[in-house]
Amino acid sequence: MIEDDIIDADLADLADALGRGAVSAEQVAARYSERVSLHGDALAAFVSFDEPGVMAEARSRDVSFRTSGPIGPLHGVPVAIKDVIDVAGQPTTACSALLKDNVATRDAQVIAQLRAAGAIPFGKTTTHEFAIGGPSFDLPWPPARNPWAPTHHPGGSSSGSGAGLAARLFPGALGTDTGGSVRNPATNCGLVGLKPSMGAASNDGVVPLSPSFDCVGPMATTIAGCARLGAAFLPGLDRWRDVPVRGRKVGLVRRWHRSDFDASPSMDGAFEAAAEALGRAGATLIEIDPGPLGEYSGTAFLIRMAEAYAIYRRDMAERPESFGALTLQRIAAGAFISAADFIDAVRHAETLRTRWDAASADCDVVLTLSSFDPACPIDDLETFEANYGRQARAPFNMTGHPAIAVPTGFDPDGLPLGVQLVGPMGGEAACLAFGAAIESALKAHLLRPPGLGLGESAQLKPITA
Amino acid sequence: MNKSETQNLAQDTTVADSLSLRLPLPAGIDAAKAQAKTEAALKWVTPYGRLGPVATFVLPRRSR
Repeated sequence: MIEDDIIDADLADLADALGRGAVSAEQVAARYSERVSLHGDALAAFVSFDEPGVMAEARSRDVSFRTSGPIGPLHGVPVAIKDVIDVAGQPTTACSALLKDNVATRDAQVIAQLRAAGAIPFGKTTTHEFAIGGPSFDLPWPPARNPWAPTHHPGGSSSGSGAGLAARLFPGALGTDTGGSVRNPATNCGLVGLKPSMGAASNDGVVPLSPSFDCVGPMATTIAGCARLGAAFLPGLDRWRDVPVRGRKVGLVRRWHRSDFDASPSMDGAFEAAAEALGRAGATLIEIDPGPLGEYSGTAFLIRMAEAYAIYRRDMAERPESFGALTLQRIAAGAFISAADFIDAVRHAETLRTRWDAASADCDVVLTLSSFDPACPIDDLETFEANYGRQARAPFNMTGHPAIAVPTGFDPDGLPLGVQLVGPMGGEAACLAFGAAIESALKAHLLRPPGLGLGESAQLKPITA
Repeated sequence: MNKSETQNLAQDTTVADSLSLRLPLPAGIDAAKAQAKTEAALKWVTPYGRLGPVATFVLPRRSR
């Protein structure tokens, strides 16, 4: 495997090459570290990056390989870690001044699972403060930038994981998703990002935001890469190729982005392109109506904010100057939720879960939009705030269903577009299989952001409407 | 606490105060904006208007 191939390969192909000894872990780590040194600062993708530590671990993998072969299916694969997940000996800051001196004493369980599969933790990536308060310019670290348009937001809160992955600073990353924080950067950066079923991945060693909703999720440039990475901590994920698409049923939710909200024409076009791709793959398409998006999002908001406020209220009162302004403002909403309101919200969430299951009962997966708009300028807070609720991700943190963001192409300005597939509980493999049908038809994963030494992109026709 | 004192308390108490917040919201937070977001979401889950339960919520605590 030549050096350019290392960067061009998706995570699954790279893992295969490492597993058969076609390339060494040290070569891979060195090549990606070189890209971090070239582009990491400009994209503000990392909070911390311990290159000597990464190289030492890579050499250790190579020693192990020579004596006993690959440790596991991710042998030697560098995986960047959102800076809310503990990696032993590394800082876990959550991009907050409150935690700027915090160093993890042990691995989070998902990190231990990654290491057991042979992966190498590859730095700690930028996040919105406590996975909620960004993009902010008043934190100890600047916000990550979108490689497709560095003036634009890469999505959040797993911002650095999305930005660095799109720029090929690493082949895979972990994010966390409480209201869409894996799927938003995946959509904004043209990537695949999976929020697993609630409870499927361990939250041990993860800075909490809303414990009822928090999920660790894998991010990669392709469906196969996302599946390979996620299989290290989500049992059964590697069986996604066994799930058929032909002859199966896909629910389509158009009301959320056409009636409840008015999505941008390019995102609406992305939805139709994905639906058409699934139809061409042999799936039967069925329009479904799960009820108003605002009812799902509003109920999820109450639970998320009440739980976040419960965690951070003491620090908010005693050390408010240590928070970014956006974090304080967002979490403050939780101060206005009484115990009775919270209980009402929790009960209503159960009603909505039942409603969603009834609406999607005949479907193997459901197609929705992820974001209703492409990425906006990172310093345009007014537009950012206006677009903040224009998304269909938060409902599934509340219902608990697995959901995956899949790229579909680009708008006329070159900004990534994407959709979301929602599976039944435990149906991550179905999300991946139907996502692969979209990927195979639309080939958005073949494109590369400009100006980052990634070569010429394949030229795809922009999606307009 | 007589009836007029009770009424005055109810009138003077802000919504944020009433929700048994033992810690004040720090300066810099637009409390009205935060409250408005919560109120908008609450319409989906609770049959009650906001101001009704506030008074009944506050008074027992203040009279302790």
